Amino acid sequence: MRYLTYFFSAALVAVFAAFTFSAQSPATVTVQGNLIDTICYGDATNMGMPEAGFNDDHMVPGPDGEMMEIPNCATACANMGIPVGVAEGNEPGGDTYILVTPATQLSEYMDQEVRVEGTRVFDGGIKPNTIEVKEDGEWKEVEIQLMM
Amino acid sequence: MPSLTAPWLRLPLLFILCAAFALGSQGDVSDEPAAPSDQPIDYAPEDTLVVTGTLLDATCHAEAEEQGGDPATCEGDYVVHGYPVGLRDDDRDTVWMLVTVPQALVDYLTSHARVTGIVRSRGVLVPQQIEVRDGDGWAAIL
Repeated sequence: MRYLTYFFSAALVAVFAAFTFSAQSPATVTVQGNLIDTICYGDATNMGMPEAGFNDDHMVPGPDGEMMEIPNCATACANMGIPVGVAEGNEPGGDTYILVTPATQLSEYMDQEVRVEGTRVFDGGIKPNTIEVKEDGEWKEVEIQLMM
Repeated sequence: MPSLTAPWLRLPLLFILCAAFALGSQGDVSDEPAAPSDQPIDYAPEDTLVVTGTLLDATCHAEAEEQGGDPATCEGDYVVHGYPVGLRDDDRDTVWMLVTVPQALVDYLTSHARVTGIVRSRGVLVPQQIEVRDGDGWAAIL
């Protein structure tokens, strides 16, 4: 009888352990940085000048090879649906994470300092629970309509 | 008052301890900046890669994996609304986030694709060309 009790106790522990590790939610992470248009920032970074795509106005090579400014480029790209990302830190060159949310809802906040709390989606994405932008030194939560 | 070592109390106590352990493990919260997964990678930012894999609705698949659902039921509802598209790599144990207009790929979700692109950062690929399987060859769609 005693051995039977030990056996059932061990089985119970094993079942709970399996439940715990299979149902464990992914870690919540917080990333702070600049809200960027991922395509232009990516291209600029690949050209060795991430600062050219870090802000709302972007610098791109013109027809004559000279750099030319495209005003409000990040806003326009977000309005087209190109994924929005966060470049970690306040300087160009930080790691980039894609925000798993419709880009158009964030277009008015491009090039602002943001703080995103959410869960990692695969290696390069973050599914945000909250997105805050810094306005006048204060964090203000952005209302986004998520399908999730 | 019964002794805590009473035989009839052992199993209920064990049950309560296990439940507390299970519930306590759910709140895995970290305020640390997002750290990459532990998987080793064979690429670096600015590398040009040719990746073959399956185009998918990244949000739906992530939720299915997280909640134990069936990713096969993902039909691209999120992508239609502008959520990013992913590419499940045939050769690496990863899903790339593709930096492109999601809606442009909605008709090609679940297709086998070949993406030539530049690595932005870990798990993030900026496509220069996207092709999908067309018979024995590839057809460019972007």
